[in-house]
Amino acid sequence: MGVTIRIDVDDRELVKLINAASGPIKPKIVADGVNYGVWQETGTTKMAARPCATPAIEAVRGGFAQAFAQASAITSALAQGVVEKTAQNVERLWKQNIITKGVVDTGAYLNSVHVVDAGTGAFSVEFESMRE
Amino acid sequence: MNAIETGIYSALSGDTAIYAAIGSTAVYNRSAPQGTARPYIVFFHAGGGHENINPSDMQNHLYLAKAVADTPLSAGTIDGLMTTALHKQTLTVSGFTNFWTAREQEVQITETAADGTIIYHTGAYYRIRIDS
Repeated sequence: MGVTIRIDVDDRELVKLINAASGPIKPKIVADGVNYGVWQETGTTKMAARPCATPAIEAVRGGFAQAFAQASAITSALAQGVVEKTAQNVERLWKQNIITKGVVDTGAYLNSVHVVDAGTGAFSVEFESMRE
Repeated sequence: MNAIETGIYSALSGDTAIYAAIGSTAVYNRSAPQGTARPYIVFFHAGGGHENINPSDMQNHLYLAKAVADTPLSAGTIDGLMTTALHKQTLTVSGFTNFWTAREQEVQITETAADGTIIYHTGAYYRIRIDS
């Protein structure tokens, strides 16, 4: 006579625990702190544009998307690292563009570009994790 | 102008509806000459470059195209016509195939001239992808 054993696995509490442990991923904002940064980016009737933020974002866009290509495999800590590294790269490239494009600047624009956890700038770029 | 810019210029300056709206072929690459009568269109390279993901010469560029006008209505109307002329259209890019042209982020900025005149900049970033 055969014996059938049925085992029901209730992993709802385990899933809850895992989700609670992973925590939310904090978005980063890359911003400038001057009110004329937007005009450097888009130009005026008197001045041609010298985009510095947009090329920086375009330069990191591919790598950012690639990092999240397998979103289910990426850990929360790794996702946070990607977000922070991307934001820092945008800051670095943005500043590099201000220097190499010959933007007329007393240093106020260059020195105002920074990464922050929250808040807004005159022209800001926000990077959020693409991980669900 | 490079091949992409020639393609954008041709699409915008050759559009009869845009011609009617601005009263001329006042379409400028990078910046308009000082004192140019408004309304007019300015477009310029904002970011992007070579993809370098395959042996062909695939490129992914971002251009900002905007109408500059004395009223928000005029700027918005011309912006709408630019959308029709560029969004999901195929540009003629010499030596390349334009397989993607799409409108992305909107740009609406108000410039106050030294004499107090308010000038409206309305447009959008367009992503243009080409392959050899």
